[in-house]
Amino acid sequence: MKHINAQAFPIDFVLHTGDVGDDLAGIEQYRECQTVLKALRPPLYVIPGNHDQRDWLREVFYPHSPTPYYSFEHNGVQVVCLDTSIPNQPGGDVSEAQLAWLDEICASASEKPLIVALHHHLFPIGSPPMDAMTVKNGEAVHQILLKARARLKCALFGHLHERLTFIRDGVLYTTAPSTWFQLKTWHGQTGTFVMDEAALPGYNIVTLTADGFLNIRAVSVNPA
Amino acid sequence: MSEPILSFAHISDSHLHENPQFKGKRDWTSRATTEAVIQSINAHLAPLDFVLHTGDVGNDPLRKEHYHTLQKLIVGLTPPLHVLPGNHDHRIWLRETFYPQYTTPYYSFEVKGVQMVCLDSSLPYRHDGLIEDEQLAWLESICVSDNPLPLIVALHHHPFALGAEAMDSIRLVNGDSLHRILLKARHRLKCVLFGHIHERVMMMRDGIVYASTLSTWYQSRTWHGQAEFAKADVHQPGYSIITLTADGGVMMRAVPVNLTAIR
Repeated sequence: MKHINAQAFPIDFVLHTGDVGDDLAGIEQYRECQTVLKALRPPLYVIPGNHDQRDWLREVFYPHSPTPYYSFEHNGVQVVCLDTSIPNQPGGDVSEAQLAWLDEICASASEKPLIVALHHHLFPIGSPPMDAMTVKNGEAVHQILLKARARLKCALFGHLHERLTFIRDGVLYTTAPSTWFQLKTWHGQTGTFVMDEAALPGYNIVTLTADGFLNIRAVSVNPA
Repeated sequence: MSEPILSFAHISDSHLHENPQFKGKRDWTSRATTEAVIQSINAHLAPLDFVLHTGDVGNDPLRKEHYHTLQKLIVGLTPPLHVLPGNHDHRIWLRETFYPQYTTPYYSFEVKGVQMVCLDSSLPYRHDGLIEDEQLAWLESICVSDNPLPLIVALHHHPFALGAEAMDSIRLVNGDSLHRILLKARHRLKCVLFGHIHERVMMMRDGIVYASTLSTWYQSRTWHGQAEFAKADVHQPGYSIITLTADGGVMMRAVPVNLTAIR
């Protein structure tokens, strides 16, 4: 948060793609999270991760939305925040009602630049422990997003604790690292999760420019 | 689960010097940090088909023999190495040392049914970049061909402005021309890889992803509205693992390299 606050150029908002809390005991603990995160200078948008309780998260961070998924606009850009969490499960899913809502957005005639955010990875990454908790209907989500390909700038996710990017049918899906600890994965991995001791926490600066370009800069933060 | 059909490491901007103690104004020698990257790649737990180096292999070498010294260092890499020229390279000496089988500093090769195109964006004694007309015509013939293979294109310079004055003054000056030609191969173009900026940036334009990797030496940072060059808060080098999967997708993993192992 200190690093983001010290950036030399204006930041319109901060997007947090889930696991704000770590299996918190109650809504009061989310209020404490909010107090901590209030140190961020730009406005904050959050979505639920598998370690979040989506109702408490929503009630504390975005009570104006009746659903844990929502959409907002900033400087003429539409940002769609999905809820891929399933109560008490590490894996993810996008509900039928939410798919229909997303489909309506993606099939609309809107020409506004679009960014989609979600917690889980939609596609397997070749790492069995991580792939046991993908979005179950990731391919269905991807097919819906393709309907908005002309205006979809990128899809942002988290969950992996690793900087990883997918390019699928001209759609860019990319993670931010965890703000806490990092993991490493590789194709053909067996066994359980492996910590990446060399990796630092960090974040991305995502910039849309007037000519329709997208830039994503990876920033690393040295906690020392 | 979609199986990998090709996996390689993308490294860049080593700035190797004939003097192993060379560190410029930085905290570490380019030799030590690049050796740490090589060790990390050799220890990678999934098989790698090759390593791609997107330029600035050397740091303004004064003689061709300096590249021989650097080649010996890089021979420590387990996978085969493919390089292309950066603004701190001498493109003729680089080609004669690393890829004498080609007659031009730009070239194309195939691995496991994937076509790789390595461009030469360097200009002698200049830091900005240009793809000259003859090379653009060569690239266009590749992009309009009916070759169905997945395609990856690599070059040294960033093709589009970052909004950072100093860094943008040394970008590729004809990036728009390059982009228009690449659009002709969009159906099979998986990604475009570059270096030069010593920073991890992805640019998306018309469905084409342009992705840089870190320097194997020191890192910079840019921001919109920046005037001068600035070094990153974190010096740590790194590289990318690029994997093409059988379903037509691309995965890129950013791998950081620990410097604490270096004395």
